[in-house]
Formats: sequence, C-alpha cells, structure tokens
Amino acid sequence: MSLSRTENGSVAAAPAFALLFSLCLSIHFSSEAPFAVSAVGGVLFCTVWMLLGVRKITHNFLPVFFLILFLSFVFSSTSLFRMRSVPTMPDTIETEGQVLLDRDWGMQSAMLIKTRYGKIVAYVPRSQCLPAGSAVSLRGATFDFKRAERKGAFDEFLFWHAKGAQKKTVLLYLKSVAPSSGLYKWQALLRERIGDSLPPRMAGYLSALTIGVRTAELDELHRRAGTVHLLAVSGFHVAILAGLCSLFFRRGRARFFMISTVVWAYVLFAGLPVGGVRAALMIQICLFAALLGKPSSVFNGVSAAGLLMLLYNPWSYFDVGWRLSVLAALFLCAFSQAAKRQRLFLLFASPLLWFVTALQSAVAFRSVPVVGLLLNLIAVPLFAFLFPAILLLALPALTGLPLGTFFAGTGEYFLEAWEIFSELLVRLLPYSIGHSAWLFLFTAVIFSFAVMRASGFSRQRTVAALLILPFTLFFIL
Amino acid sequence: MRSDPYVKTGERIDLNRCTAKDLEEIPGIGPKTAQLILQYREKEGGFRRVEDLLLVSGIGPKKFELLKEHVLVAN
Repeated sequence: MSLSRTENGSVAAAPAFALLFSLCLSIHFSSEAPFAVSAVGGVLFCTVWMLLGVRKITHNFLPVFFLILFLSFVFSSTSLFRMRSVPTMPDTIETEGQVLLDRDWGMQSAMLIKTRYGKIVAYVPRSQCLPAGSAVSLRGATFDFKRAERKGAFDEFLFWHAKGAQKKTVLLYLKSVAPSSGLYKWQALLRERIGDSLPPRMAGYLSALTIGVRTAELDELHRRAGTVHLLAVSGFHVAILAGLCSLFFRRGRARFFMISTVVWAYVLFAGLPVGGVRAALMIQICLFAALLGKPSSVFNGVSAAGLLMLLYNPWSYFDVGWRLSVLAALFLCAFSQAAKRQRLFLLFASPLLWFVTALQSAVAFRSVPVVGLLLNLIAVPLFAFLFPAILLLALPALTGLPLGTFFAGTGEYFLEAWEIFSELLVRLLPYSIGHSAWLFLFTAVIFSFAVMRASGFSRQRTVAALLILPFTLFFIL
Repeated sequence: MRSDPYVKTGERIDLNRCTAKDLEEIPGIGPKTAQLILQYREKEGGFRRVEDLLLVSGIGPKKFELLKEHVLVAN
C-alpha cells in the first residue's frame, strides 16, 4: 500500500511526527486537564493535523489514517496511565544498589541509584559521593520530590522523573561494596588516562566527547558563548561518527552493521546522553529503511526517535535536554527538506536554529547570549572538523606513542586560539535575551512553517494553518 | 509552664504537639535546632512521620539517629 506525499500530506510524509505531536500534546495537557480529556485531546489534534495536510482522499488513505489515530490513542492513554501510577516505595529502605549517575548539585553532589525498589536520588556532601558504577549498600528514608513553587521555576519532581527516578532519599548509611565495573570501569580508566596524559583543553574536550563528562571551566566558556550544545554528546557528534563510518562502508549489510555497532557503542560509552540516543535511534531507523530498500525521511526518522524515547519514559517530555535535542533535530531536518530545491536557504539554517532553540533555552536557563547567533555560524562547521582532529591528535599521547606531547600540544594550541576568539566576540557582544512574546512568535512561525512543509502541507495550506494553528506553539514552550 | 499532657507518650515526645522547651530536653538538641524543628512544622503543616526530621535544615543523619529514639508522630 503506497501513499502519495503530495496527495496524502502528513499521513504519507511524516506519520511519526503526527504521533509524536499528539503524544506531546496529551502529556502537555495532562498537567492541567483530566486523564481522558488529555488523551482524547491529543488524538483530536492529531486528526486535525492529518486532515489539514491532506489534499485528496485516496482509497488507501483511510486505513492508514485510522491506524495512526488508533496508535495515537493507545500511545497517549498508556503513557498518561504510566505517568499517573503512583510509585510504591517504602518510607524507609535498606538495600543494595548501583550508582548510575553522579553529578554536582549546588554545594553537594547528587547520585542516581538503581535499587530493587526503583531508582532513587540521594544528595550527599561531595566528599561522600561515589562514582557511577559503584555497587552500594544503603539505608535511608524516602521522600517525594519537591514541585516548582511557581510556573517556570525549577521542578525537582519533573527533573528527576525525566531521568527515571521515583523518590529522593536522605541517606542514613552509605557504603561502597564494590568499585565501578564493566563499562563504568572503562569510563573511569579513560577519564584518568585523559587527565594524566593531555593538556587541560584537550583533556576537557576529549572527556566531553568520549565519556560525556564536562569540566566546569569548559562548560562556563561555552555557556557564555552560547555554544554549550557542542559539549553535550548529541546528533552533531553521532552524525560526524556515522559520516566517517559511511566513508568506509558505502552500502549493504556491512554498512548497516558497522554504523549501527559503532554509533551505539559510542552512545553507550558516553553514558546514553539524551541527544546521542535520539540521534542513534534516528540513524538506526534510516539504516533499517535503507537495508530493506524502503524510502525514508530523516524528518520522520527524528520524529520516530523522539516518539520511542517518550514511549520508554513519558517524563522525558519535561527534560530540557530531550526538548532541545528533538526540537533542533526536527527543525534542521524539516528545514533542509523544505530548502532542498533552493540550497542557498541552507545558509540560514544555523541562525534560524538559534532562534528556534533560544526560547526553550531562555525558559530553562533564564537568558541566551546573543553572540551565539554569530559564533554558531563558525563553531558548528569548525568543530565538525576539530572534533575528529582532537581525537586523532590525542591518540599518540593516550597510547604513549612518541611525539604524543607534540601532537597534543598542537591540538591545545588550536583550542586555545578558539577560546581567545570566542572570548573576544563575547566581549564585543555581551548581550543576552530572555523569554519574550516576540521571540515566542518568531520561533513559533519558523518552526511551524518548517514542520508543516516537511509534513507535506502545500504552501497555501501552510500559510493558512500558521494563522489558525497557534497550538503548534506548544513545541517551543 | 508545664507541657500539654498529650505531648509525651511514654518516654517519647510528639513532634506535632511539642514546644521548643520539650525538644530541648532531648540530649544533644539545643534551642537553635528546636526552633528549626518548630519552623519546619509550621511551614509544612506538621510532621507525617519521624523521618521528616531529615528534611529539617541542620538535622543530618547523626542528629536524626540521636533524635529518633526520643520522638514520635502520633496519629
């Protein structure tokens, strides 16, 4: 059964986006509306979305249309049901577990620990924090997470639920019963090796690239420059890796298996970061389609990846990392698809992407540095070259080969030059913007335009829909 | 001034009824900690269980272990 993109709109062009759209809406509504209203509301909007894009109802349109609606209802209702179910965890626990994540938390450290009762979070003094991978024995009292006191404020409940945690625990006793093992052990070893054998900038970038560990200094530097996304393992890094792999394996099963293995191994080693998982899923979907000889659209692939992540953990919707990653990838894929015939428009992709993500970033981080608009134009293509270069220049020092210091020093020199340049621009353009109605409107219009075009809407319908469909704005909020 | 007869059940002090003075009778609890406990009670509308003491700023695991033997939360 084949559908025409021009006749059947989003049903043919991007069915996964319709499903993702309805599920996001259902979850979004659920914080204000009752369960049934939220689930049905999402399905209704999915219906409107698909009908708006269709130009002609062909004989094979209706079965697919109803299948999408059915899936939309099943996905929404099961996700909302899971979100509403109250975790059953005793008030006090005495158990063993494994530290899955450790990170700075203000003056303290936070540990995400997997136990037989579910995942818990414990805030401990930095000196007592145990590294990820450690097996622990613990005793403590469990508590509910705090909700945000006002709209837009930090919500501990949503933040940790998006990471799979059910309760927070005040520990009365904590003891490491076994050091990090398996993958965690390798991560720790690489981290140590990087720290011992490379100069600071090379070490900082390589740690961020390989194991997803960012130093505070590097984080701050990129935050000021509005390029912090370069440090988080994301679609950018996974795409570079997949691109390099595809140079050696151009077609066939070998290409499928090699790219899949390398990409997933990398994402796993980097600690399964949201952006990396999203990109790996998207690449996997496209590789599957290529292997089966089926046509695929990267826009639909991104939507399917975002949808799978939400189905796995519906709370991801509230994770700023998930939102920024999916939003950016959806826009880039939609925009490049829309600008396929006029490639000159692709030059605008970076600044427009800045606007699309600026609002979400401004809501999450209070403000966004304007210099990022300019710096990203240079930084993204530059780092697409620099990241593989850093890896190559670091290898001799990491493996103890001769001239290791020279190569690592060369890399350090390039990174220092970048640091000086970006700091100079930051000083020249020390402005930042916050959340505003104008930014909201502009972002909504460009994002909606791109996704509507990628979903098979005609130009006229896109313009008309932009006027009557303000609900697409939810993606940016 | 004498404490409310409902404050103490057996040898333990009810966290939802006690005064600062009652709390200060517990070894290791000074006026400052007692005040913090009462402030928490006022802000949160009472204690649900003894472990809630761990949410009071200034009460860590060590102080809690000391306190829990002397307090209770009556239904």
